[in-house]
Amino acid sequence: MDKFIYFLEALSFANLGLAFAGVLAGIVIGALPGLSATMAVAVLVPFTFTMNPASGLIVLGAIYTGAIYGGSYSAILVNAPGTPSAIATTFDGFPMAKRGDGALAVSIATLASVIGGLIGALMLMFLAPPLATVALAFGPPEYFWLAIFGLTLISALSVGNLIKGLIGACFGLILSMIGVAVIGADVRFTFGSQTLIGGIDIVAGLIGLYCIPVLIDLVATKDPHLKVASDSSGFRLGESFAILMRNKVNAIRSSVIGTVVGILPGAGGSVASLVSYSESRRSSKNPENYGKGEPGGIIATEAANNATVGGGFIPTLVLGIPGTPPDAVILGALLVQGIKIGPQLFTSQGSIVYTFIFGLLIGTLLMLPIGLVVGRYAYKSIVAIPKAALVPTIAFLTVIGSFAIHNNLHDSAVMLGLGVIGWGLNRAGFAPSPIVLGLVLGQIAEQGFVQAYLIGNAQGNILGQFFGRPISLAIAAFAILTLFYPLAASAIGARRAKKSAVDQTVESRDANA
Amino acid sequence: MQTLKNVHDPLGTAVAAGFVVLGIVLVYSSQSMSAMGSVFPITTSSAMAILGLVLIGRNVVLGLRGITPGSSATKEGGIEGGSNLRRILFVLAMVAWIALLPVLGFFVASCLAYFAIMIVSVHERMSVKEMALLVILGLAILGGFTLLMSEVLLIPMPRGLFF
Amino acid sequence: MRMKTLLSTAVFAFALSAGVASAQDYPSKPLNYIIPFNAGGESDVAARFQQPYLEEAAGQNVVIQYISGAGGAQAWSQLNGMEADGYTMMGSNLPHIILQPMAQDVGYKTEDITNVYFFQYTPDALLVPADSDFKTLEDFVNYAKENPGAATVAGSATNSANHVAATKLNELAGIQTTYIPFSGTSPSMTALLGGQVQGAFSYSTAALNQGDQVRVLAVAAEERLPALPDTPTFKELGYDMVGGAYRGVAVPSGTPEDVRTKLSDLLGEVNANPEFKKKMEDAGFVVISVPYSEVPAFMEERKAQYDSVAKIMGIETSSN
Repeated sequence: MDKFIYFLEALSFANLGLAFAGVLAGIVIGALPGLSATMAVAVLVPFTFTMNPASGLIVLGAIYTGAIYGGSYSAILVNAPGTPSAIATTFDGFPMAKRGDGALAVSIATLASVIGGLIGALMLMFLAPPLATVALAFGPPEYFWLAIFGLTLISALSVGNLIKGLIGACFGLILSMIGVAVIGADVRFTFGSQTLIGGIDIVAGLIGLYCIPVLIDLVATKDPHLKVASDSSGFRLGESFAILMRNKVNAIRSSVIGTVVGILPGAGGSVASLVSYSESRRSSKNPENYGKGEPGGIIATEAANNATVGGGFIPTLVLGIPGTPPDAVILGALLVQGIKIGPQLFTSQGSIVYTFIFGLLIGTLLMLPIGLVVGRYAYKSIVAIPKAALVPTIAFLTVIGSFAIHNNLHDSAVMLGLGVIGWGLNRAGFAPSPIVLGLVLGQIAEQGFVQAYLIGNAQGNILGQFFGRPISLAIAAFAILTLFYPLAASAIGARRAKKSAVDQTVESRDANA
Repeated sequence: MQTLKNVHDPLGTAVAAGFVVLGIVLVYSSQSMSAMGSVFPITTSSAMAILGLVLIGRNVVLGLRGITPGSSATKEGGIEGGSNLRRILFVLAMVAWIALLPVLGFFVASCLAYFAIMIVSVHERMSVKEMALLVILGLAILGGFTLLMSEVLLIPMPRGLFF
Repeated sequence: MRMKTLLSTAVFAFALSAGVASAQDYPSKPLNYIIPFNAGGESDVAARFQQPYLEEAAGQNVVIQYISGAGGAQAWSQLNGMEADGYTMMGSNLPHIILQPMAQDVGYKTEDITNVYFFQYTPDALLVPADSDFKTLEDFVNYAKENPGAATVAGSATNSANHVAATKLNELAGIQTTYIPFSGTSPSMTALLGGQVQGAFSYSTAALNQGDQVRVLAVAAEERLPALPDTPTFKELGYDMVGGAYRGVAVPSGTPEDVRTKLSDLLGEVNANPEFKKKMEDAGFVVISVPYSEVPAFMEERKAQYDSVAKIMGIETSSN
């Protein structure tokens, strides 16, 4: 078993140290909104040239896993997703933190991330070649339907306020169209502004829409940012384990969704976590708790987004096509090191590839102790830091975070503008999440639609593109299911209630007789 | 004025009216785009305008039936009340921050805005010792992040008159 | 005594940073090399190849930074506002800096970009999946001739180098194909390997990365590439098509002439290094050397090429 030899190689003392440092650095960078996994990996690349290829890859993989996980801290503690992958973590994480369960939320996120990361990495190790064909089976119509599936989450997110949710989603979709179009190169909705020509970056939009409203309301009152639970000192690890065990199906399903969506170049962690959140809510026994601080929601998103790390490497290593932006950087690093990338990598460079995957596994496992300690420290300092220092510090992070996306102040201006608009809209009952969903999924939906239309037109079979492909139909069916499930569920629930009422009357009548 | 009083959720209705206007303007400005580039903009903008009209209609009908508006803030946050002056000052400080970054340089502009926002968010009287502690903490955070970004992450920082 | 040395060092450092740039002691501090795209792209990879050799030639550190957005336009529109002391240089790409300002107002004009050197290009390559019925370019052209508009060709974005190549081939071969723009090379390669499209225009580098999953019908280089010895050039097959994405280095417009020349010389030194050339060619890049003195002629030549294609693509030259 040569895989075992690679495992021992990955376990060397130096490599373990590197993985430890990588995970730690990744968590810190990922936790800061705007400082992304891509950036962390890109900065590290020149240093890895001085190491041997396997060690270099281990530290790159470790920093990448850490950064994706780190995004959950800021999502839970300040309602600002540190990376787009953590958008859906804010839905339940922040409400939990607000009511004093921040430490529990962080512990749950840590456990779920580790499980997601492990499942993703194991699937990368054992199932990479067959799974890579999934990426190839996804054409433009499938991307279109996947984005539509993601958008159906709006119906679940805006219960009792559906029209406002849909208007918000339309607004988000329009935001995603701003700038120079990929298809057709039209300059759209910029109103002649140079600031908008590059479009609205998703991360800038996220930071603005989620973080600025929180800050605006935070300065207005004396209330503390988070409630402090009476027993805020512990990890609440036992409780977290118990919750995780109750959600084990959810965790595994979300990890598999995360891996598969991660394989698709152009979809990525944000789509993966949204889709698995939506599925987790649909199959949950108490979907009405989602969005109000349901641990199952955190488990779904965090398991899914860490599973995309392993998933994203599948097309990267098998097909030579990077699955996510950090993968592109890592692929570039391999190229510069003179390693021949592409389909032959698994066979010709097996030692490097397997050492790397074991490194990924070790990094993911290390995330558990490091994450729990760092997470507890982060929670404690957010609670302990006086408001007068917390507000300007978060404000500082929003400015540098939005600037650092492209090293461009245009993005900071867009971030602040959207934040103020988002605060006003929220006041009028238009929640930020549907807008964010529109912004994140708009490009995927539009490009998928237009590409499918163009291909269908060339082949003289436009309807066949959208409705004649099995995977498309399956995703569309799931989308319809998710869209109408809340309605159907309540209808079924009502009928059951009626039926049991009838039963009761029958019983009582029998008793009387 | 009479109708406005009768509207359920007046704020939501006003915003919806804004979305209707925006939708119409965007549909109009999409006419000059290429066929492929205008499909989505036209569809989404008209959908937004129509949904806006539906919302206005619903609110007026509900208002006429005399249903009292519920809390307009959503579950995702939004604290009612508090000082609106502080809110405005905070936003102004943020605008100034971003506008001044390329003029004054990253560190100097950040220091000014950071402490301005700190003043806006202080609600209680503080002792000199507490204030000194906050200033030191602030400078440490600013300095640390500036160094992290410029020296470790190698981000090209905006440079202005100072640094 | 120590105070004095410290002071004089400080004054000296200040004099340097204040922009008293002279070519005699250039370069005397680290060079900032800004890539107008995201990390991991072809421009980034090429710069990473250059980095160690440029550091050796200059005797200084080379720091690679990224300012991305709007297909590079965000960075290029900021270039002339940066410090013009020769220590700030930026990647410059063709056809981007010619086609972008031609199509719309992107905040800079082609003339605003001061190019000092063009060091490589990645030739356009027409790829089909390995199991495709198209064995040769001839097969593909014949199919497109018989079924106008039915052949689908993927590429990265509209008005891009891939789009130019697809349009040019249509014109030269007298065929009609449907160009399907994707948001980048990765999605377009995925669509190709998955058989969603029949062919794709990409670069020689991508062709190499995909290995034997794809068949390269032709490359738009002057002569066959060392890394793809069995692939014919368009020229051999009778289509006068040489082009791709050209990459160079530009500086802010205020940079002194002698510093520009010096920088051009340094980049020339890197290009002359056989080890660098070998590494680049193995990855599918074609190393060319267009020093500062030859840049104007080179730009004129490329501009003429793009002008004719731009007309077919419907880019209005006078729109802004």
